[in-house]
Amino acid sequence: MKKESFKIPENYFDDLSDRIIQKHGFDQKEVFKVEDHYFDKLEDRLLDQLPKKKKVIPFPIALRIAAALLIGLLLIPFDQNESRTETIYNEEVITEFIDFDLFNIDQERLLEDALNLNQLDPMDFITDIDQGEIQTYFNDEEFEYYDYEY
Amino acid sequence: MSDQELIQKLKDPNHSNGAFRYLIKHYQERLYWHIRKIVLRHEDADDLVQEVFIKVFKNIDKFKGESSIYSWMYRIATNESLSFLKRDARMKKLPFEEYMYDKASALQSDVLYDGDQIQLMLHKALAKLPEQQRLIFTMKYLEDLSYKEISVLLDKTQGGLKANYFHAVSKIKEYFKSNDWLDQVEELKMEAV
Repeated sequence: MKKESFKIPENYFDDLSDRIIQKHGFDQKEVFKVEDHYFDKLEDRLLDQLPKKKKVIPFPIALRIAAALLIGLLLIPFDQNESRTETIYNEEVITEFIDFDLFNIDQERLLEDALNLNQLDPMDFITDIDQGEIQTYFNDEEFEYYDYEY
Repeated sequence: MSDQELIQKLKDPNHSNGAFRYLIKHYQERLYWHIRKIVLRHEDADDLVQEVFIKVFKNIDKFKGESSIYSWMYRIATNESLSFLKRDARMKKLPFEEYMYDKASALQSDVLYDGDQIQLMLHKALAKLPEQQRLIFTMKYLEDLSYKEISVLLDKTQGGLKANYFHAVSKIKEYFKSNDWLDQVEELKMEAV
């Protein structure tokens, strides 16, 4: 027999108990009992037990983190007393290794910061790249959230 | 919320927790009563309904949406309940029929059971049935599902279900007669229609 596809009608359960009583004289729900407020408590217990699914980090953000770490690795070793020549070298390294279009990076701002390397810390570059998204991500302590819109 | 919308949200990690809250709110009671009618004892039904929801949560990505979400959960609940009974019978080292009969007899002293003598007899009679006949009788008679609905839920033909139900009713009637409960058979109205 070809397997049929059907959905139990929306109102199927609304008057099920009445129909069963009418048909058989009793309903199993009246025969079997549960303690008061059992289903309220069950709902809470079920919600507690569900494994929490992690919020998915969008791929572009993962890429931006990788880009930021790469820049950090390239720039951190340079000492604050380095000459401007060395700073320009940093700029060349950045433009060589980073695909600005791919990562949607504000190129001018990043290069300006690279020229003022001795006044910055690596997190400034991260902020340049992602316009605050990664910082927000790291500030989200549990990296989870619940949708209570229902 | 439509089934399709619910399934989409259940599969989306960014919305799944909220969607599961909705799922639990709407279906926990129905699933519980289905499971309870199979396993009889509240404590077992309580454990099983939790296992079913966790199973649903973990396997939602495998759900293809070919049936309604409730039908899918109902099938999981049925399979989990039957597996539990077999496992528990094995652990207690009892033949399955004897195990089920003990469970039905224990209802008499169960504080969460309030059935009269006829209903208790019916459960004892059900315990004597083969698994498929007991399940089909429970779904048809106690849950008032149609043959069409049962055929989709259990993936059986309607003809086969009718035959099983007919045999179940015959055996239950026979059980009642053998225990001198002849007049109660009519009261139960188990016509195989």
